[in-house]
Amino acid sequence: MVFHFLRRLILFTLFYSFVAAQTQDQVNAASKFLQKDGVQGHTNNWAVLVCSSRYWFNYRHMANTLGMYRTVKRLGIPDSNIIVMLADDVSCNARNKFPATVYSNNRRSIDLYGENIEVDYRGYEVTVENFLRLLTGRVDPSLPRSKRLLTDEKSNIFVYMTGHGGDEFLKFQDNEEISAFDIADAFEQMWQKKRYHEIFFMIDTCQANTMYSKFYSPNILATGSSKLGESSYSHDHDSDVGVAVIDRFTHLVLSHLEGINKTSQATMQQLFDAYNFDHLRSTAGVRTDLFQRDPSKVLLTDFFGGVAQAEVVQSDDVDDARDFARLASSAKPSVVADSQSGKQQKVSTTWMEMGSDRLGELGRNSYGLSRVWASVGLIFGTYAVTRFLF
Amino acid sequence: MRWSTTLTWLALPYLYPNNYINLANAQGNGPPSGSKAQSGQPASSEGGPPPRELKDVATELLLLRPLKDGKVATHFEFEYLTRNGVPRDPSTLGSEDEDQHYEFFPLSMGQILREYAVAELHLTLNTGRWRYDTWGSPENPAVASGAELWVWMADGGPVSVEERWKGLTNALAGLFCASLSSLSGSRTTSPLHSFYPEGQLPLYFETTEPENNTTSRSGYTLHHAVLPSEAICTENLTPFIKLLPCKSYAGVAELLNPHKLFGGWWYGMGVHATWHDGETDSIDGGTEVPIDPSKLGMGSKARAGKYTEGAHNDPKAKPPPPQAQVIKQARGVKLKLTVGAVRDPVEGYRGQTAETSQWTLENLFGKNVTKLCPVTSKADVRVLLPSKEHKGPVGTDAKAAVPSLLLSPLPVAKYHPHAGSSKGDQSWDVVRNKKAKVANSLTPLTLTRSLRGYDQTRGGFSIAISNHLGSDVDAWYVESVPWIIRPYLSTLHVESVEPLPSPSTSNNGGAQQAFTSPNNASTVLDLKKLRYVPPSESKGEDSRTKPTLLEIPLRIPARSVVRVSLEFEKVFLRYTEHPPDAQRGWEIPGGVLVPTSVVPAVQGEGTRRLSRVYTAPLLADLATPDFSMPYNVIILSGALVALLFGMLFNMLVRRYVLVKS
Repeated sequence: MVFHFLRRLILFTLFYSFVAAQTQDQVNAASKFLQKDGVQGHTNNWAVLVCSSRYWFNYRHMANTLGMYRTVKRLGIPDSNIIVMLADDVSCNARNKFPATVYSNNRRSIDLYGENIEVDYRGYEVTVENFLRLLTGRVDPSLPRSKRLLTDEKSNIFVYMTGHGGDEFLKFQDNEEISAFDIADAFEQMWQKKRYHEIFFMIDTCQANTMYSKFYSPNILATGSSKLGESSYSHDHDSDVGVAVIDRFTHLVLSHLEGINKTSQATMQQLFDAYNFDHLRSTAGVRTDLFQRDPSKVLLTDFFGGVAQAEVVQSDDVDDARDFARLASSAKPSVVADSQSGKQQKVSTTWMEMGSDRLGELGRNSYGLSRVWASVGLIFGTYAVTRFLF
Repeated sequence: MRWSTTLTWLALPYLYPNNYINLANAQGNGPPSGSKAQSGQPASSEGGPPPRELKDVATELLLLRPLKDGKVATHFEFEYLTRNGVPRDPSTLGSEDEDQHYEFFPLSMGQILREYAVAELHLTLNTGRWRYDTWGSPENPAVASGAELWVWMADGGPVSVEERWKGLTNALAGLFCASLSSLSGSRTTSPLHSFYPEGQLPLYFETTEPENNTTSRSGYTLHHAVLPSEAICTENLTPFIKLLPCKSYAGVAELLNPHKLFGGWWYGMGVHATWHDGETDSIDGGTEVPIDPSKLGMGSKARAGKYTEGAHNDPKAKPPPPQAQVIKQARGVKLKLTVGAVRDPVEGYRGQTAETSQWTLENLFGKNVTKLCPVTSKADVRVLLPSKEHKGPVGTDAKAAVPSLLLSPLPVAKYHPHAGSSKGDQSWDVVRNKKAKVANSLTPLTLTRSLRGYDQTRGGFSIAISNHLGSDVDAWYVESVPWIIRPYLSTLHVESVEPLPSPSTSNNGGAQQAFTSPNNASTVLDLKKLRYVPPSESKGEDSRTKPTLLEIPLRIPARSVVRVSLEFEKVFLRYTEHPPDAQRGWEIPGGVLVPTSVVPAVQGEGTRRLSRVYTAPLLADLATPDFSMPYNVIILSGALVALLFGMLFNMLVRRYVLVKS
């Protein structure tokens, strides 16, 4: 009787493993279908640019933020996808000798304020609460669209913060602080709510690297201007404006970005390699352990630009596509880089990804099939053995 | 002509040379919009019948007025009208809105007005203080410092007025990049007597209300809010320009250069949405509507399907002033977008020394008008010519009394100094060559308000209202004080009524009656009509968010100054209630004087309503704590607790025994 039960049990277990192997394959296929183009793809870019300092003497923090604003806008992120938080109005400040302008260098060559700018949160609205609400999307229903971060699981978000900070905190308007834990938890909530695909976090403040040390959510690449115990310094001083006009770290990043355009193939690693202690007078840091891709393979335009991956599959000739994909994947990226327009590059890279995915899928399919047959064999084998034994 | 003797004016290749007008007309045959064909046909009363029914009308205007102190007041006005449009009936808010079609009317504004069923809206964002004494009356009376929003909305829908008001402030905050979201809670008041609609309010339902219109204007409520600390800069002008059909690429909007506008002594922008019923006439471009004093404040009787203020229904009260251009107000929703700035033309002019007051459009705005916006049916540039003597009676508006120079070919007056100017050059400019004396353009009413007391717990307002007219003026003085200040109504009194020193330029010496007797004060302030809305009866949380509203009825005698004083208590704030820059102080919005009296119109016929006057905001100094105090308290109490705990712990745990040696 006992043996009979045991036999039943073994049979049941084996049968279950057979079913499980099959359903696992279905789940794989389904998730593959839903995910469409693997890890790489983001379909939209967002930027959250925060200046948390008030008062005229913090002009440089406003200039930092507006410099980033100008750059991401130049690289293709539209105003609707940029959330700018400025804690004070320096451009139309009565102390500003040059009305409606903000300059980031003492030659006053580039007016960062320009004639076309949209600031979404300003003055007293720049608070820790509003910032965290913006990130997590827990906002009042009547809040206008321009003040919301309407991201999804395919959004790459560039988060830039600047202000006065310290060990694991950043001051907002000299009145309240946001801690490293707050931002880390907000990012985790965003991840759980599928509000981002990848985040690039950049912060320019004293002891900035402590601000990203508490992150624990996946797909976050982070960089900061100075390590624990170090200050971040300003770069240019304009005697007509009367105050320092930009910070060293932001100045370095902006001048690095000034050389690239929308179709650039420059990578994050190149930016990180440009960090230079002699210039910054602080140790800029990078955190890559949460990030799944290699920074040397991540384009700068993945975060600073509005360049999105596009799906270009024609459903009627999938076979042709597969062939083309094989060709493309066999041809090395040098060919891709040689092609003239950015559009073509994008197309070919998409093929490449798709090709590799499809091959992988095929491989997985045959593996799954063998697992099914193996479990069938096991069932019959065990049945025979138990029959023989008992 | 007078102006040619006092000044030399030069219009270099003047506006819109003939070939360009033809070009504009030729373009009108093109498909994109119906009203291009109308570009040569302003909507004037004696104009021929329009070729076909127009939906929208777009007009633009630039007004330049030299001021006494050498500055120039510039005023841009863009008007868009949806013909036959009617504000949405709030009872339909629950269901799908009927389709709207806008040609030039900005879609985003139209959507907001429909979404919240707004009948009339006025939003202004201004920086600086308008100096009534040197600059005269502003082109648009809405010159309150900071942000001012007032809206007429009808009640009676599925969505409450309060909800719609909150949604509206948020929507406008998003559209214009301004921090208006904070208006809805802590700044909103509903004055009943003082503010009146500038257009008309549609009646959606038959009202059987009794005659006491003091509680509501047939289901309409006014929400009024001021945020004095709001700044205005390029980020507000950017979305504003995006509302214009030609953006800033053509027409007078080309001159909207933020670097010049925001360097002015005063600058601001406004959005005014009104509804007009086509049956009535009104003066173009002015907010001074003819009014019948006997009907003020009332008027629910003779209402046939619309709410109208005063004399609109009274045919004899509205003879058109010959100077003002009278057009048939078309029925529909009108949106008026304004930008104003007071610029000093001397500063920053290329290498010119300061003694010349020569100015051109180029140095005022850093740009020039090069193209005509093809969809506008009327584009005017007017320069109000300064004159040495002030014409007209003292106190009338300078802009109406002084001749103006129209620098555009439309509609009638053309200015052609060089009729055969170069054809290819389509830009033009105005140059003012000689230094000219500009007469002091007195405003009929001036108003100052100052803060008394240096105490951090108590203080007072002292308000001085001067009437420069030869007749008494009835007015409402409106004070909406934020909750941080609690006025004592018992201290409200008229301190003195003094005659004005007789102005040297007075042309009317007969009006020098003395109003010195103090017993006159009782007729000045009628406390029975006073309206006082305290934040809340209870001591609840409302009393720490809602503002106090005071509507004070005043009768200001002719040629005299009335001084009113009011004392208040400053609330002691909690630690978390302070703004980030608490040491700066709290801004108290400016008071408003809304006259209800009428004065004879400029040319002697008809009457017009005086426009309202604002005071500058004030900074109240409240007791601010040492913000590091909580940390000191924590450290001190922490030390105390540690000390006590250590002692207790030692006593409980440690055993004291004698150690035998």
